[in-house]
Amino acid sequence: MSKPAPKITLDRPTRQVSAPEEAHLEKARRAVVTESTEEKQLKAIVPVKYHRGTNDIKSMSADNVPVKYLIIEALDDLFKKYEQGKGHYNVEDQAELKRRLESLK
Amino acid sequence: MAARIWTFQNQKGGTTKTTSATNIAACLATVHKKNVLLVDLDGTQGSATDWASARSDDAVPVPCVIMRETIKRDLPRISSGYDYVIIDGIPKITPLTSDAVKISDLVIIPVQPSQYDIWATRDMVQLVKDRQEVTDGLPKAVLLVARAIRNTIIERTATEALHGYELPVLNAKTYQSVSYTNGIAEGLSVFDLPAGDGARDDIEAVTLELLEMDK
Repeated sequence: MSKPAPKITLDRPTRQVSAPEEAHLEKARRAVVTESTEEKQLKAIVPVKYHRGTNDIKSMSADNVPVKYLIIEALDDLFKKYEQGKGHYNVEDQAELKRRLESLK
Repeated sequence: MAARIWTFQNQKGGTTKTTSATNIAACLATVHKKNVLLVDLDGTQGSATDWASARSDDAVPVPCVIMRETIKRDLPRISSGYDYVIIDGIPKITPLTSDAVKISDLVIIPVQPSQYDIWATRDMVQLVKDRQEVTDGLPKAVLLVARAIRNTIIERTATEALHGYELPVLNAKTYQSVSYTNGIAEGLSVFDLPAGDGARDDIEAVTLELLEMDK
């Protein structure tokens, strides 16, 4: 009896195309198309006026935008400022800070 | 000029990521006289690091560093002065794999011509395509048929099947050979073998094709 001719397929018999991705794969796929791979809590106790102000922006914005996104917007502006050397606080190695902030993009 | 970054990546183990990465790094350094930095992403196993450490002081230098999650931030700083950075990837798909894809100019996915290897490659192909979709096709990516057995039907069948992934498949291939394994303990590459060695010719052909792709 002769040997059967080799046959190669691309699709795994045990993995349907419509099946949900495994968690590690889903995480990697999300990371490859975005610049941020994970989220962590950013804790800060700040004066009440900032709570009021961000809540006011939230409630008066057209999409009722979550406070989280307002804080991210503020942090992006902060990064831009420090990248340009225009931050409120003094930075000794401006070039290195700029390089690090740019690498986060 | 910034170093060109080539990453050898496949989630499956034993696909020749390290063998291909070290020999192509040696080819770029020896044959093409380039300054090459080898980056070992799999520091736990550290095979590329061991290979580089075992090289004699007289050998053409191919320095190797282990890098992990800070690669995206730190590689630009340590790679200045190098022409090429060759990254030996990890045998899994994690956000670290994604970072390697994101910083690369060229991703090389070595695949053995076997059904198991081809099935296991699908996720890596998808990851690269996900990135290419949001960056107008960058990084370039290519499939490398590796450790094939010369002139077999399975070599041809597997190569044809790989075209189904709709990524370029290199014309040059590497083949099963003891030339790759004999000198590892001394940090040798196929370029320490006499000219005309089959494995040496194969790695030269693969490297030339990669250089052409990365123009």
